[in-house]
Amino acid sequence: MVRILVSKTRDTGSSPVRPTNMNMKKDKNLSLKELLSNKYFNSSEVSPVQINIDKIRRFQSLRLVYGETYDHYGMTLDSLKYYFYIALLAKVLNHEGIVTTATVIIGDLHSVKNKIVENKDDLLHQADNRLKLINKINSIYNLNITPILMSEMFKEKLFLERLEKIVPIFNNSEDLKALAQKTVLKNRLTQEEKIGFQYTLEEVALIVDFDIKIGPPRETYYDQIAGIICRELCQKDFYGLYLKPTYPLGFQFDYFINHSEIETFGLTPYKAGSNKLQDNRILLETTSALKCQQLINSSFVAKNLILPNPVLDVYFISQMAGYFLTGEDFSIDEEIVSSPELLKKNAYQKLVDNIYKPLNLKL
Amino acid sequence: MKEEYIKLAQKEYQAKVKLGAKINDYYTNKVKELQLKDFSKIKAYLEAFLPELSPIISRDIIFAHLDFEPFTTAIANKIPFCIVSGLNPSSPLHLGHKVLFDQLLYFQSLGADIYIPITNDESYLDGKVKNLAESRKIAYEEIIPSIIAFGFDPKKTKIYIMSDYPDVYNFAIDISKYVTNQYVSSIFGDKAIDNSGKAFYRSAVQLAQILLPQLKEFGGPKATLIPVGIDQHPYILLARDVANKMNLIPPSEVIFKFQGSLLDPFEKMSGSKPNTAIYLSDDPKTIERKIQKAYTGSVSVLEVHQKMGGVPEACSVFSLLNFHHPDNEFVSNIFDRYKKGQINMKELKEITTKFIIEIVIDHQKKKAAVKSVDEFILNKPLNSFLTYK
Repeated sequence: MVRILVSKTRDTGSSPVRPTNMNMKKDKNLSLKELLSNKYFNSSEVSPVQINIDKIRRFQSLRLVYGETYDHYGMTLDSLKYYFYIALLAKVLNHEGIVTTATVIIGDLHSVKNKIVENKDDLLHQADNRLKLINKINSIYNLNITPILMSEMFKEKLFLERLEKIVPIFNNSEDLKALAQKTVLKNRLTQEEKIGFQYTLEEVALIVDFDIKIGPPRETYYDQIAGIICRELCQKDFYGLYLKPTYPLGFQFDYFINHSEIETFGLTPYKAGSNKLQDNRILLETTSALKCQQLINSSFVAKNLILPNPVLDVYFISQMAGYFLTGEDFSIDEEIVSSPELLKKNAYQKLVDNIYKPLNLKL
Repeated sequence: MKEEYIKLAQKEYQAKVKLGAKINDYYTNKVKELQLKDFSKIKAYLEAFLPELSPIISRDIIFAHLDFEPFTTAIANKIPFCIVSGLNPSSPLHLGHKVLFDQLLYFQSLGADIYIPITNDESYLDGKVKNLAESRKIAYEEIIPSIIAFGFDPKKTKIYIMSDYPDVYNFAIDISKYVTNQYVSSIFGDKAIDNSGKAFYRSAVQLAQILLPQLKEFGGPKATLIPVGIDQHPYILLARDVANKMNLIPPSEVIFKFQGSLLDPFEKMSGSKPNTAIYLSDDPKTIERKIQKAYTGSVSVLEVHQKMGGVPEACSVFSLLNFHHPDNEFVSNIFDRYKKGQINMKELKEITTKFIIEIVIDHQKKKAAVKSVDEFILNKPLNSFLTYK
């Protein structure tokens, strides 16, 4: 069996990057354990609903889901991380004999829900373009993921029935309400309370139909609600799997020290304009390769894995792309990861070779 | 009889372990008690950003901070910033002072302009010198050449003796209206202001030193960093409060661990207690004698030490290496071997004595080579707050 994506050393949270022995081959039986414990991908945050390997192996079949909203700025490179990860996990689980599907929900309706969103009709229509792009990605990288629009799911009778059942369970539970309060920003709390946390409950009604949701750590509260509802409503478990937070490119280390909320929670990976930092993200449809290079070169690169490292993320996403694209081995070696210059150079080169060129993006 | 010694030594070892934990807990608890921020996160970032990290940071000698964040921006973008660190010239400099100067030098290498007020007025008010004249002599002949010998950049270092720069007192008068005696007494206690000079000094003069770089003469309001021992934290709180009232930028602080006394690692090395300190003016024989008599983290029975190991966390001798030896790998190696009992007390004292003599003698040579202090002395007239139309 080929080993993937793991460090032999325990991540103590303070030690610098150690040499890793990572190789992936497209058609080999990849290790589930190593994928789930990969410190480059998986968040170290602990959530009550976080899946682990023992729990995952109890399933005979699994439905994985990743959901994302979007804004006018289009698709981020960080969305690719989630597409690749869910695809890889599904592949690994299928190899293990667990029949697994991977679904990507495009949250078109939720993308326009917020009052402050402008040109809502236009944004809603962008869902079709996004769907096309995901299908293109799916086809080029052979990901075998199923993208689906939220608006289509909302029309399903089963979804509407679930939502109807969830509302009274939620309204009678102070615990669920307390969790729901954590899913919204403080400045929107009153508004959300007024409408009975509609957004949150719709999200939960969608995801409880699945077994494992993949997302950023900040989505754990949705998943905790889903976990409780699932047990009550469907007599089954629901789990979350969290990838490391997404960070903006083009900043020095002081930016993270002086913006502790971004340092802790990161940006919303799929929303390009999260924290108005769209100019510090790689946007697949608009950011030129040259601009990517500038962003990468002007970014702080940490050797310590507890610190934000957006360049490592670019490198890793691009490595994953290469794996899906060609099936060639890839490895993360100490020499590259521990040298900011080498990491930047490799991150950019692999981004161009494995993502920009195959997707025919603006060079 | 031998068994009895062994049992005693085992008890002694436990007591030293407890002392080591007590020292560690002291700092950890202070961070919580005073609501300071742990420095470890900033250390992790600096470690990744800077080509070389000072042992002062890599060995956690700076352990806490208040509002250090703006200085990370200055360091990241190579923007000059400002540090103030006063010195009371009541005794010759010792290794405890060197810890401070090592920090100042390191921050200077990262872009800091350093202001060093020599507070001979405070020495006089606290009864540590007979008169101002004596403290001036110590300052000019001992303290300032010794500071210069550390290798500060004259273009980025401003030293002034309080009695020779009376303009600061005008600024202190300007500040004094923002602070009541009651406020000062609630912070420092009545004893700290038991005569009119002390009251003025603590409520206004000290603040004038801290806020001086923010005067127009020095470019106006700017972020100012003050490296302090934990006992000086109340001064910073007072200065921050007054800065706010004066529309200046509240100073920030980094807090460093004190260099332990040679006789008790839980106590501070003190210039007024010669046996607790190694002065930068000590001769090799004196250094050797003091280290020989120092408290160690090793038990008195060699056999027990070899079996149970030493306690470097509670060792005044190891602490000298930890605070002053520049080589991280060397210090880490000594720590490990001493802790495992592979280095005994005698060997540790030999290694440390040799090293400390080397750095002290080197310092003395550099001090002797200082011919003039003039280019470091600040005497710019302060009149921005006196000018009228």
